Amino acid sequence: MRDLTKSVFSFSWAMSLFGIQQAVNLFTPSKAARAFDNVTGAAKEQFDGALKATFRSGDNLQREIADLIFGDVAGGEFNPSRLARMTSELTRRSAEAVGQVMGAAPCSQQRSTAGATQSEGWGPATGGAAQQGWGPAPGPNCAQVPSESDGARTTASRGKAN
Amino acid sequence: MRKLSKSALSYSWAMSLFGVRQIDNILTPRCDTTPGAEDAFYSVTQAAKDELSDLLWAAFQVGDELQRDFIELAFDFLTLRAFHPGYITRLTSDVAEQSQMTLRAFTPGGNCRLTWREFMNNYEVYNLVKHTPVRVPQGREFSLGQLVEDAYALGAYPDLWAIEGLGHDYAATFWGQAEPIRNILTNERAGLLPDKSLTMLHAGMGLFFAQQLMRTVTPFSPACEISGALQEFIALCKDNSRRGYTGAAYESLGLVTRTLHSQMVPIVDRQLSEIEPEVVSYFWHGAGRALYFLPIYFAPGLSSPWRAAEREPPHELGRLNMVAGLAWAKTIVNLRQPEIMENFLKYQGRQLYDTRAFTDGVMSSLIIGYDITPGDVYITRFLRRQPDPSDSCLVELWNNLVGRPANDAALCHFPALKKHERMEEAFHYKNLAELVARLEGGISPPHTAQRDS
Repeated sequence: MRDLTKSVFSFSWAMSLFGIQQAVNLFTPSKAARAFDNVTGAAKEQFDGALKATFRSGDNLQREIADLIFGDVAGGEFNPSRLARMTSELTRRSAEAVGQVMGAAPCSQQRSTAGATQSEGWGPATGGAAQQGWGPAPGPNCAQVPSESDGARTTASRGKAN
Repeated sequence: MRKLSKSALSYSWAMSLFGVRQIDNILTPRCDTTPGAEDAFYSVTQAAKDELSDLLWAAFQVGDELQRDFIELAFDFLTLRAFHPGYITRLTSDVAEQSQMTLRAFTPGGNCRLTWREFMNNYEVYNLVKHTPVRVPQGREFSLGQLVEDAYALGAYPDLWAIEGLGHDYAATFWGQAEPIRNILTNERAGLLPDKSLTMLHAGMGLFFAQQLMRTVTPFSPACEISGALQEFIALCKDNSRRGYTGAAYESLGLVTRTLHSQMVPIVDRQLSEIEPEVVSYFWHGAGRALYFLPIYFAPGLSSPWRAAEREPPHELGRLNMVAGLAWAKTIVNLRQPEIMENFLKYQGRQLYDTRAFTDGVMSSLIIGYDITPGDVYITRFLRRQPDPSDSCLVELWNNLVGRPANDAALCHFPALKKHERMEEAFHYKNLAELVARLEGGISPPHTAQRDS
């Protein structure tokens, strides 16, 4: 209980600071988007099958809406029939998503126990305090740190070590 | 903008579902194989933390350490543990001691000036590490020897940090290649490097390996995964270090773990005790070094890292090494102003957990300093320092804990360690005089950190 409370408080504190960081990052939208993606990836890693599907449906939907807003409405190509189709699709998928959440079994799936950023490699998997560094523990942000082959290297090297 | 909006919406949606998932995790009895809410919170917290700038990361670290202490206290009250007389005495004495230290540090006058100086030294080191002008160029050929020369050209003191950074960046150039990483500091290319650069190059290399491998595990990873990562770290250090320097690389594991993955510290300690007990002392020494640079202890006087060094380790070996590592960092960072050390001894010298460990840290840092910058003017000045003779208490403390041992270290122990290829001994707690006597007497204790070659 003690540890869980600490984890919850750490999480809340990290998310508050992440909010501030993202406000600063708004001046460099690509960086902000990448940061959102990384945290989203970490959260997504914690979802089991049903919740993952729910996330995917909702995510696809919101992406289409974003495309609609940025492409059609903002671009001046407003198409009422497409909007109607989108609305009906949205309703259908929302119902589907709610159904999936209600039917989710808590212990049905196993998830990776490694940190989401490490195991999934979502976005720049090399990101992190390890990359940012602090004081005498500098980040390799100025060094050549391959991001995608970390897993492969780890495995290869471990084999060699044994 | 479109991409950012999509990412922000995905994030909001993911966090909503994450909340639902965690409520479910907390309320529903867990299957043994299913990781729980703690694991999930940890992973997402790490991911968010990884996106923070230095300043916000420091804010996170300070806030997180404080909230953890506060929650411990709150639970101690709830479980009535806090009403135990011993607990109340300890808490009261801690608060009184800390308040006294803070008041002293910020009282206008000499103390305040030295506090400010120490803070500026910390900040300078932080900048030297973060923004060193000597870096390994990415994606093109480079001469390591030339880069080491460039680092030395920065002058005594900045050179130490620049060389550690070089070791870090140099190791990074090998990461991700298909072939196993071997002999990077023993091959032909590194063969021509000056001896004086080797300790911190090894420390930097260890730093990089530790950063990469510690990222692959969490406190909730299966024991075999954590053990695998540690074994890989040890193998990499052994495969790439020169004889007598492997310990310098090992020590960085403690630095990285305590700085960036503090929850992993007890786990790594347990695992190392099983897989390679010789590395445990180096690990705690590095963790002690990390304490000195942590944001929560960054500003002197606000919180004491010495108390943390006494309480964090679960065993005596850990405590001795953590105190030694902390003293190591304090000495090397404030080498140019021995009056900072003098002031520390004046007010806290009598409360030190173990004066042997403290002295060992001071001696080891001077040995490393002497090795990296032979004839360093600051070290010479430090060795000649004599406190105000009117304060006999301080003179005694200085002579016993710093002055005499420091001179012994620089003039007798350093040449012996160098001659017997045992520079790694300066990266953990040991009885230096005894070790040197044995080495000089022809009894060579086994290398604590050397693969048979």
